[in-house]
Amino acid sequence: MILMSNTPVLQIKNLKTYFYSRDSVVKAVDGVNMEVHSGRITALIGGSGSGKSVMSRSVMGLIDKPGKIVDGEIWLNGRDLRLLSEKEMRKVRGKEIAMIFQEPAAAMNPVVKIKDHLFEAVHTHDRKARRKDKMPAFREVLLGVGLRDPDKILESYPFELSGGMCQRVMVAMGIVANAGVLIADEPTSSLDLTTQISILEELMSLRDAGIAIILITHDLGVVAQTADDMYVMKDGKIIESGTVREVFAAPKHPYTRYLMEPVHVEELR
Amino acid sequence: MKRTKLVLNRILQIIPILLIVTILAFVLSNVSAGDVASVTLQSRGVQVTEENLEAVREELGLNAPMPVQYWNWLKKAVCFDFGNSFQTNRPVSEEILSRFPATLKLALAATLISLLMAIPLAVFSARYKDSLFDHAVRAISSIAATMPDFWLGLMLLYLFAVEWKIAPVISGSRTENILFPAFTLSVANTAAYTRVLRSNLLDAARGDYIIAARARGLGKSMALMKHGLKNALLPLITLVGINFGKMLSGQVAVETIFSWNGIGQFAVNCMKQKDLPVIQGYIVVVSITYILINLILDLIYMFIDPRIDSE
Amino acid sequence: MIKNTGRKLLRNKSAMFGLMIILILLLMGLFAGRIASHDPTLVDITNKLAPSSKEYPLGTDQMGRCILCRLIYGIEISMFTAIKVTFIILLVGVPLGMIAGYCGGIADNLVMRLADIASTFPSTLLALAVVGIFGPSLDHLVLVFIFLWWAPFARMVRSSVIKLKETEFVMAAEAAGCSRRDIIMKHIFPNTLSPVIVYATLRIAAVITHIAGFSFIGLGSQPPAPDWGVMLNDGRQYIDTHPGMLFWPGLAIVIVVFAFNLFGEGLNDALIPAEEEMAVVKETGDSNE
Repeated sequence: MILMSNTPVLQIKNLKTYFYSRDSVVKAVDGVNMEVHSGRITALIGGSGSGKSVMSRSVMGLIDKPGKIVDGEIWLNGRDLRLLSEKEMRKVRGKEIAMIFQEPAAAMNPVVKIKDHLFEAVHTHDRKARRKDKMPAFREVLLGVGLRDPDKILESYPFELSGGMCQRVMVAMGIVANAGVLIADEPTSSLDLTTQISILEELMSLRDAGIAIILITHDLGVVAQTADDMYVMKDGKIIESGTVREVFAAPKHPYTRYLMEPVHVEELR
Repeated sequence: MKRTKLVLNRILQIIPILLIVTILAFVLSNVSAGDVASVTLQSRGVQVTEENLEAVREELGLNAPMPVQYWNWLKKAVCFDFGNSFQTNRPVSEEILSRFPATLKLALAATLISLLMAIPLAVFSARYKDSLFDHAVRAISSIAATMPDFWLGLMLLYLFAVEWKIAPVISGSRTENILFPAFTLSVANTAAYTRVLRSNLLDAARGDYIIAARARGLGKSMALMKHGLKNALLPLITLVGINFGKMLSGQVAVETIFSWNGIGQFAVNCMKQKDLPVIQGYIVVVSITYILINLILDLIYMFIDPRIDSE
Repeated sequence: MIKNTGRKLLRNKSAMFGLMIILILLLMGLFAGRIASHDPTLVDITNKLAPSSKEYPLGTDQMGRCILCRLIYGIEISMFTAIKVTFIILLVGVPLGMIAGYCGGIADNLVMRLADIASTFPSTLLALAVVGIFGPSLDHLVLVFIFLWWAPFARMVRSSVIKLKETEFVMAAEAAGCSRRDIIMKHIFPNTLSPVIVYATLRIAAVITHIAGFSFIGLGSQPPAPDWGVMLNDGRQYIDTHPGMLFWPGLAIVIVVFAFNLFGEGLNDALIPAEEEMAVVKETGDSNE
């Protein structure tokens, strides 16, 4: 077992993200505190509308109008991301934190080949990179995430690949830029069961390689199988947190207990 | 392969359209068949008598049954033989082809101006949504889209040629005078392209892959340009092509206003003189050009968009 | 819902402004005989090209006819015809779209093929053919608009019918044994109307521009009709001496077209749910349903 380092890579303090419409304010994230450690999978679990996806976008600094981060601190590698300019923030995205999405096929431009997606992930942070020089590395990375025919895949368009293959490519894009934190936003909920399992195994092997993973999900089964720490979110607030073992052994909040009754697991969807 | 099948299918679709167009052009002469004989006589300077009419009808094959007449006419039409113009007595194909370059030049220039204006306007407008610039672009384009080209042309001609004397009153199809007629033609299209492109870009910006690209560290503008623009431009290609095809049928009003000797103006003048061979020739030639452009567009589209093959 | 729509529309200042202009002009057109003090076609050569005066506020044209009076009588040709034409286009396009959407199969294929042809045909080409066959007149020109412009309405109606056919309330009605006619008239037809109304309003503006445009090049109304396009064509020869002859008819067209567009866009905002509100819902709702 990997030892837990004492200082978290990513620490979120009192984060508040609100969405404004003409005559109302939606408090999507309302005072969240969270710690994420290297070499551990931290699960963020909650039902639909609990604010967990907005959380991940807030960390990435990808909240657009009419949304706004109104308060809080996001500490990554010793600095508060909220104080960074957009230009500095761009260097963080992809390079220090990578992100994979629920619909892997939709998260890739349908008219851009896989190799160009991968190259973009590298080139954005390394202007001197040459496509030709990078191809062997790409092949290796694709093999590393369990894709067997990397040459063919590099030349493919996203729509020519299955959902599971696309998700592996997305993971590969996170790896090529050497990001230390990976946010996986419902990475398996659009995939079939066998693919789900193999993608989760991929995430676990990344954890074992020392990457910090935030796993956003509504699936308690996934949490029990893969995560080390967990946070339960409801209506924009964290209502319970701890290691997975602790929480599963003795859930404190009634909502968590409610969720853990087998009948209600489905209701999270 | 799917693509080959699609292409073949698309080419087969042309046949009914061609049939409709040629029948339309043919009927045109037949509905006024009485006229054809007498107009032909008049154009030759022969007195119109019952006897002469009968002779001409025989000569032109107007007494044969309709389908036979159509077939005979079609055989000639395939070789672009529409007879001679009543007015000038020169072959119709020659008359039309000599005016086609002027129309083509105008259409090309207008399309170029539209795109050169619309693309940057739309990109900035979408990037800085709800800014002052965006509001201005939207307001101006909604006015420009409703501005009738014939009035805009007249006003430009008045201001620049009559009032300020910067441009000539008569352009005479000369390339150096193309700016004003081309600009007049381009305004409504520019407005339409800007609106379409802007809303396509905004849709694209909401797409997961733009957010994913930004999550990889691309700036907002860069992500929009790199991943949004190509996808947003694809649907625009069809629109631009269709408009280009329409312009090739001749922009009668603008050609008239700026004395631009294109085929539209020529066809309308012949219409007023009941110069039927020219009208028939015009309808066939323009339709074929138009059909070809649409075909080429669809083919281009099939080859640019990699998705088509796998659907 | 209708109440809500009405309120939204009333609150939209630019739509109301457009509607006001439309109503005023319609009234002027209706009572043209009372408002205009001169016969729009009465030729008075002795008084030709007169400048603006109390009797002729916008002066007279090359035949000594009152320009303002001709503009007022032109409302009938331009707006009334356009409204009538748009109505006929609806009568053709909406049922065809219904049939295509509801029946599907061969009927659908046929209608959509025809729609493809109609929507890509250059209008100049068709106008020349029609006018060539039947002779130049506004009535014949109207045929061109009907032939070309039923297609977008048919498409629009077809796609909403197809969507509606899949909804639960239509299926429920079918399961309950409602007759086809009842289903179409009670459940489907009313729900296809919003986009059709919006588009028809915008289309009126396009018909107006096209009537004037074709009349300008001599394929529509014929002189001495007080059509705004005919007036513009008359004024062309006098561009250097009497630019007013060009300015006023054009301005009239632009005002009318602009009014219909303002009103149409207002209807659009009132009848069709706003993009902004949808975006808020999309952003705040989590993406895992």
